[in-house]
Amino acid sequence: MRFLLLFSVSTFILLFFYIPVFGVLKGAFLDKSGSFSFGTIRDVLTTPYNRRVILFTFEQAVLSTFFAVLLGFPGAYLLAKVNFPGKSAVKAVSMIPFVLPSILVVLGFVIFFGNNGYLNRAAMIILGTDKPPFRILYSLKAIILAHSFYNFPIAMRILSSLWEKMSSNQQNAAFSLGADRGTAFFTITLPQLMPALISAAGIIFLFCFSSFAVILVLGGGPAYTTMEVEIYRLAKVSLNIGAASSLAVIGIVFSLIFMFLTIHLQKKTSEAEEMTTTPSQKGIERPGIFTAYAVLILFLVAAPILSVIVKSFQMPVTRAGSEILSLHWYQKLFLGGSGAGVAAAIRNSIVFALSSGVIAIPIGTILSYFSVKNWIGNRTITSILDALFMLPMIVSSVMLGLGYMILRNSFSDRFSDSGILIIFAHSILAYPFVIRSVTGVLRKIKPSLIHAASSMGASPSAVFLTIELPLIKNALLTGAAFAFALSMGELNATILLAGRGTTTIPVAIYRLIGSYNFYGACALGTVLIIITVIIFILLDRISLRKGRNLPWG
Amino acid sequence: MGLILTKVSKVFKEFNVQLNLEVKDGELTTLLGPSGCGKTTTLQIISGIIKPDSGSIILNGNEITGADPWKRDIGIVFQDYALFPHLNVAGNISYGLKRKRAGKEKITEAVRNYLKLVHLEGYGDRTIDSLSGGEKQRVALARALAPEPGILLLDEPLSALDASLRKSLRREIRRIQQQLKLTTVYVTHDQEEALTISDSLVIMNQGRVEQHGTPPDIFNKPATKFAAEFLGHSNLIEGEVTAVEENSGIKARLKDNTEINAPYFPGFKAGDPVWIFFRSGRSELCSHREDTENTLPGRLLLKEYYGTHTLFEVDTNGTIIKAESRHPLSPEKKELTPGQEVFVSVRREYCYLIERLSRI
Repeated sequence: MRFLLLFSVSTFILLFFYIPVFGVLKGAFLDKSGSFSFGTIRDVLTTPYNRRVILFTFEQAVLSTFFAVLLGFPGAYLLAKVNFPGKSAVKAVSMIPFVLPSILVVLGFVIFFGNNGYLNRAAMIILGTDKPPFRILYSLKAIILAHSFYNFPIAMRILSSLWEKMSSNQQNAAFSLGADRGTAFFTITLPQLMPALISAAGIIFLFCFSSFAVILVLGGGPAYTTMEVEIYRLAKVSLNIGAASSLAVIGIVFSLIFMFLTIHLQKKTSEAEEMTTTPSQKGIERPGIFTAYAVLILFLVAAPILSVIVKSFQMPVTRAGSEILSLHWYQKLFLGGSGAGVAAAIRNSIVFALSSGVIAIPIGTILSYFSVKNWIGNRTITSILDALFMLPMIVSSVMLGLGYMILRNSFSDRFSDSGILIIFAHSILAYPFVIRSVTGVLRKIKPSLIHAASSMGASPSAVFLTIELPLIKNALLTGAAFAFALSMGELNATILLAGRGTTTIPVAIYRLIGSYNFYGACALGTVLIIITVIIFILLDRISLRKGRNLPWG
Repeated sequence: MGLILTKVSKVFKEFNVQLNLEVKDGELTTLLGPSGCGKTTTLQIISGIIKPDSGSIILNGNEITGADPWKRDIGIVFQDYALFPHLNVAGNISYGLKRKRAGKEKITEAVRNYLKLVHLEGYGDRTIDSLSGGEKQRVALARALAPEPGILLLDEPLSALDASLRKSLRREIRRIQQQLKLTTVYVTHDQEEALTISDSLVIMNQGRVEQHGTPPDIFNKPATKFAAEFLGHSNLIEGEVTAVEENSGIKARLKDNTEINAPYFPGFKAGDPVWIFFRSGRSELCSHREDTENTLPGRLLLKEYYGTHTLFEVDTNGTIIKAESRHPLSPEKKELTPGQEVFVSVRREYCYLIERLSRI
C-alpha cells in the first residue's frame, strides 16, 4: 500500500516536474544538430546584454535583501521581547509574502507610489506644487522598495523566533560586565542571531533573485530586467527557447549555490549553547519609537492595498483627473464587452486553485509520511529522496513554465489548452509547502501516542484515522490554504502557459496594467484582495496565532 | 497464567537484551535498574513495539511473540502520559473500548466507573490541556484499564511528577492493582517506589536480569554485587572464605588478614572469593577499640548530617566503609571529627556473603 502511494506520487513528480526540467536542460545543452554542447550557454554568457541582466539580478537581490532584513529587525525585537497591543496583527503581517499575490503588491505600488499615485497627489497638495515630488516607479528604487516591503515580514518572523528563545540574562550579564546597550547587542545578541539572520537573508535573497511580477511591471524595461523576466521575454516574445533555457539553467545553478551556501553558513554559526525555553517578555520601554514603527509598517503594507480598493471605486470625470465614486469599472468588467473574459478568469483561478489544492494535499501528506516514518527504512536514501522531492521549491516557476511550454508540443492541443498543465504546474509548486506544513506537526506526534492507541487495539489504519489525521488536520488545512493562495497568485509559470481560455486573475490584471487600464486592474485586484483576505483569515484562525506551521519551518 | 518470557533476546547496535522472566498472575512485578539497563526495552518487547530476535512471549496462556501490537490485549501507561490531545478525557478513556466495538451504553458506563476508580468523577468533558500532571496520569491509568486488558504495563509512570504526588499516586496505583487483581509490570528507576509497590522485584542490568525475588529478599540478600550496590546504602568488602562450619558459621579473611565472622550460608567453601555485604545502617562506630567481633580500625573521612541520621565514612586500610547512626547521636559520636582514628564494627548476623566473580 505504502509503496503504491509512493510510486504514484513519484511518477507524478517525475512526469510533471523532472521531465519538464529535463526539457529545459535539453534546450540549454543541445545545439541545433541535436548534439551536446555548451555553445548556447556560452553564447548567453558572452552577450554583454545578458551579462548586464545577470549582474542586475544580483544587484537588486542584494540591495532588496539588505533593506528587507533591516526593516524586519525592529519588528523581530518587538515580537520577541515586548508585549504590546496589536502584537497579533503585527504577527499576522508575516504571512503576507506567502498569501498576497505579487501582482497585487505591484498594482498597489503603482497606484500608491506612482507619479499620479495617492502619495504624490497628497504631497502635491501639501507642498502646493504641481509636479509629483516622489519619482519612484520604473527604477531600481521601486524594485527595492517593493521587495523590501514584500519580504521584510520573513526576516521579522525568522529573527523573532530565535530571538524570543534567547535569555535576557545573557544581555544582563553583559550589562553587568560593563557593556552598554549597543555593545551588548553587537557582541552578545547579534552573534547568536546569526543563524536566523543567515536563514532569513538566504530565503529573501532567493525570493528576490527569482522575483517576477515586481520586476516585470515596476522595472519597466530593459534597463531593469532580471534573469526571470528575460527568460519570460525570450520564451514568449522572442520565441528563443534555447537562450531562455540556458538562462534558466544558469539561474538554477546560482540558486542552488546560494542555497548550499546558506545552509553551510547556518551550520557554521549555530551555537550549541542551551537556550531558555521560557522567554522573558516585558512591557514596552520606549513606546513612541515602536508604536511609530508599527504604524509605519502597517501603513506601508496597508496603504498600497487600500489604494487599489479605493481606486477601483473611482472614475475620472475631467481630464485634469478629478474623480467621483462609481461602480463603473465593476460594471464594465463584469457586464461590458470584456465581461466574459474576466468572469472566465475568476472562474479559472478558483478552479485551478481548488484543483491544485486537491492534488497537492495528498502528495504533500504522503511525502511527509514517507520522510517522517522512514518508509523505506534507510535514512540516507530517504534524505536524498526528500531533497529531490523538495527541489520544486528551489527551481523558479518561470523555469517550470518554460519546461511545460517546451513539452506542450508533445501533447494534443485540447489537453494543453484545457488548463490541466497549469493545474499540474501549480500543484508541483504547492506540494512542498504541504510537506513543510505537515512534516513539522507529524514529527511532533510522540511515538507513545501511537503505541498507546495500538496497545488498545487500534490497527495502523485506525491509528491514522483516529489519532494522526485529527492531529495533522490543522497542518493540512494550512497547507491547503497556502497551496490555494499560491495558485491564486501565481503569475510566473501561468503567464507562459495561459492560453485564450485559461487566463487567470493575476494574468488578467497584468494585461489590464499593460493596457494602462488601471481602474479595471484595481477592480479585478479588489476581487483578488477579497479572496486573499478570506484565505488570510482562514490561515489566521487555523494556526498563525499559535505561531507554527509556517511553510519555511 | 500471567506473563512468561522465555529466552527472549534482542540485539541492538551497542546493547543486547536477553531475558527469562515470569510475571505471576495478579501480581505486581517491578523492573528496577539504572537508565539504559533494558527495562523500558523489555516493556516494549512485551507490548510489541519492538519485536525480539528470538524467544517466546506467552501472555495468559497465549503465545503473542509475533502478534501485532494492537492484537495483544495489553494496557500501557506511559511516562509522558501519551494522552490524545484532540480528544477529551472521556474520549481518551473510551478509545480502547471503541476499537473493541463496545456498545454506547457500555462505554458510558465504563467511562464513569473508571473515572470513579481514579477519583476523577465528572472529569469526562474536560480537555487534556486543562489537566494537571497528576490528573493526566490518572486519566492515562483509567484509559489503560478501561478495555480490561490481560496485563497492565507501567513505564516510569510517576517520574514526571513531584515527590509528594508520586507517593500518593503510587499508593493509588497499588490499591487499584490489588482491587482488580491485575497482572502488572511496573518499570522504575526509583528504589523506594520499587520496594514499596511490588509483590516481586526484578533487578536489571545491561539487558539481563540480575536478581528476581520479593523486595525483602533482594534488599537483605542481594544475589550479586550489582544488586547489592544498586539498592540502598551498603558496604561490600573484598574477602576470601577461610572456614565453613554449619553450626558456627563462615569465617572470611580480608586483604589485610583481618578475620570476619558471618552466619552460615550454603554453597560456600574454603578458598572462595566473596564480597562481605552489610547495610550501612548496621555498622557501628566508636572512638576506641571495643572487644567485639568484626572490628576494623580506620580513619574517619567524612561526617554528613542527614536530619534523621548521620553518615560516617571510614577508610579502613583502603576500603571505605559507610556507617549510619540514627539520631540522637551518643555524646562520643557527636565529638568525632574527620581525620580521627576510629573503629567500625558489624555484628555477624548482619553480614551476608555474595559470590565474588573473578571477572569483577
